[in-house]
Amino acid sequence: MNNVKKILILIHFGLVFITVTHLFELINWNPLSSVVGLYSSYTYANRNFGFFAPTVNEDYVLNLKVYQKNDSLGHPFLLNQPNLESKIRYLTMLWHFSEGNSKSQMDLFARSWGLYCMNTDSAVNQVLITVHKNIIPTMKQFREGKRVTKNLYYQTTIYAKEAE
Amino acid sequence: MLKKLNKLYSSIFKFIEVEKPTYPLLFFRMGLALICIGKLAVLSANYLTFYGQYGLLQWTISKVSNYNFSPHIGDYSLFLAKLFSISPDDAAVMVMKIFFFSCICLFFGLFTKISTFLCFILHLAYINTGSGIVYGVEVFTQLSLFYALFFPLNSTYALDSLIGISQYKKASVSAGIAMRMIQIQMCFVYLSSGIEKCLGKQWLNGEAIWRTFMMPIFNNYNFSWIAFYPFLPLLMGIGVLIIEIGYTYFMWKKNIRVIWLVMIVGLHLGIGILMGMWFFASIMIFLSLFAFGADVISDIAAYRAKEARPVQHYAGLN
Repeated sequence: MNNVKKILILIHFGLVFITVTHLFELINWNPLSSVVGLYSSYTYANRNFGFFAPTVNEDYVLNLKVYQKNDSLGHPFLLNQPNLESKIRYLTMLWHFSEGNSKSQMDLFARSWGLYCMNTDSAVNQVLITVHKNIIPTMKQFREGKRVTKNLYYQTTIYAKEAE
Repeated sequence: MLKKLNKLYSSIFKFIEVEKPTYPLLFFRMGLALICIGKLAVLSANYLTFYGQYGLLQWTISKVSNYNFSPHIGDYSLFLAKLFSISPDDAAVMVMKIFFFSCICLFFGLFTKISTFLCFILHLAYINTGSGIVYGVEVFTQLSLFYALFFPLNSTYALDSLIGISQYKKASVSAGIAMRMIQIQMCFVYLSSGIEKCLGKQWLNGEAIWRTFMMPIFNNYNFSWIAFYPFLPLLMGIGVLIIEIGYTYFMWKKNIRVIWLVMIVGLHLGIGILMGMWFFASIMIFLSLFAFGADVISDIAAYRAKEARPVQHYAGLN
């Protein structure tokens, strides 16, 4: 192996090392952070690999209710879940939705879901989006009688724009 | 100081540049192709929901969260839509077919370098387009595809050798370097994962295992009774930490690594069975088997040879 390849290998694992150890955050130097981010976005080799770490986050449930014009009752819009992998993807989407607890991010996701419902069924002109968070009791609380509960986490309504 | 650095540099590459058999590369090539095919096949019923122009996360939104020049299914689809005068959604389906075809070529080792590159760039495009549904399985698949770009995947039982593009090799230094890369990567993965888990209380008091079992989506089996035996999730949580952190050390120890490989495979099989995350379990098992499988097989062969050797008795001398 020539020296160029050897240096590239050392740089590669150097980037992996400074990412997994969060050193680049401690160094806090923008050019380094940019290089780390860019390299990670292509290779996925230098990332934080702490899945379900240090805590296991709660999961969420998404409910979509669609309304047509002059329809006050509405009906549920069911997402196609043919297998467990699809269900896991929906859960992952909800984790990304709630990441950082950013209202603007959640609104962006919600608008996207609303638009998806309207594109799927052109008669729909209003979508009520509700996200519940499953609150899991600790083992001690479970022994005392507490069970998994659903708390309202986010709710919004998306309206179709009226044609001018 | 310079002499010490030179010595360290030489030691590192003496460790990395070892000759190893090439058959694990066959496993890597075929396994990776199958995982890529499987992942997309399972999601194909919801393909346009996850990756379509007006899916759950529209292209305009997923593009904004990436670098301008990052691969994206939307860009390729719009190009193909214009080229073939078809709808963007039909073009997105065409991209899927190109990806499947590349994976099949990779599986058989046909035009391996090109097919590996296509798999790498299209898989990355899928990640960038479906960034809202990405989880660990994408991370490790993309990581594997990145390394695959540099591995001599067509040096063992590949169609490329039949058409004269590559030559079959029983063992090579390149194969050794490939294995070392993944071995080092996996050590980083498990060590950082184990340490990050230790930074919270949940993995140390069993709550992490309990919470995973109680999440409705992972509730394939009823494990609520485990709350009345809290030592069980506690032991399981600590067990996970020991297996992950210990990986970095014990996978380099002859004979002990057999047990550790079995434990790490068992851990991921458990994730697959109990949580239904089969693709994540597959890619993690696949990477560990590629990295250390050949060494473990050598350990077992050496142990068997030692056991088979006849015991020599010496008569005592007066």
